[in-house]
Amino acid sequence: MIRLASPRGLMPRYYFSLTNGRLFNDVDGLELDDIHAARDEAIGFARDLMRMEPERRDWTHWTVHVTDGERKPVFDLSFSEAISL
Amino acid sequence: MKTSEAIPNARNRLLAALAPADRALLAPYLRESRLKQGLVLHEAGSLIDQVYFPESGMISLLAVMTAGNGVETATVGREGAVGVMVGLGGRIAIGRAVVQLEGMFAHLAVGPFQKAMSDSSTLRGLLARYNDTQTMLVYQVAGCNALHQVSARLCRWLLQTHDRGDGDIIPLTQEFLAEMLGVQRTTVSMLAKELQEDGLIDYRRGRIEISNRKGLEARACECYETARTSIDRLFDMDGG
Repeated sequence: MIRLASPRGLMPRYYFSLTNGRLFNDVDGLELDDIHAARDEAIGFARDLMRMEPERRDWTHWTVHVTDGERKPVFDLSFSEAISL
Repeated sequence: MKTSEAIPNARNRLLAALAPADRALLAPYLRESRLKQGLVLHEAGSLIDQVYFPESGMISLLAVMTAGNGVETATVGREGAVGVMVGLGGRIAIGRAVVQLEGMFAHLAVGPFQKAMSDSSTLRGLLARYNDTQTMLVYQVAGCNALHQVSARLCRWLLQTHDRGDGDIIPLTQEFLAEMLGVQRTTVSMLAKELQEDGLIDYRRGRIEISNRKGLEARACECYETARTSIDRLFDMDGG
């Protein structure tokens, strides 16, 4: 299910956690316009990590797990998908 | 923005380093204002109309791409000035200048600044040397952005901001830091949490407190020390 921006006009909060281990569980999250902005953030985050520390680990099997303000899953984005987009 | 006449005992190192005769040329035109975080002083390609000398706070210079995203190319605190190239003939801003840390700034209009530069070879000399130092620092940051790890750049950035602020608390948002470093906000959040886990900072939303400055210096890239040394050398030459 695609969750769109709040009908009351409030910015929804999204959390961007990394899966394939518990390296980073996002506890702050970000207020973003909508799911499209959340997707852009997830793509940029994955690309940052691959660019920043390519030698530290093979990121290709990692996933950005995006949840909403109630911590319900919104979408998953694999790092390999972030490269190809 | 509240504006008043600039105080005679300049807290800006560049103004303080001026010869008395050169200070006398600028003093009648200098004003002092408190500028808020996020205020854009000029955009790339726009006409520069004021020259700013930070007395506290800090200005960031950004290279901005056509998509609107940008990355920091230099920061200017009380050791420097923004817009001095107008005194050397240029009037078009080569990047965006934005107030990064709120503070007090001495400033004057381009006209009297250019007149003073035209009238004084010692003023031209000091500001040309400052311009050289600033250009060297832009080169350094260009190399830093391309070659150094984002975590080391974040440490450099926090140290530079700490040097220019008052106290250990740095009132920055994720958004600002992300723009400065050219990464996503989530990336900043992750890196800040790593620094917090190592006891170097205390990080909460929109607020960073430096806990272990020595530790941050050890994590920062060489560019922090290079910048500090270059600036000190400029003022050693001028007795400032």
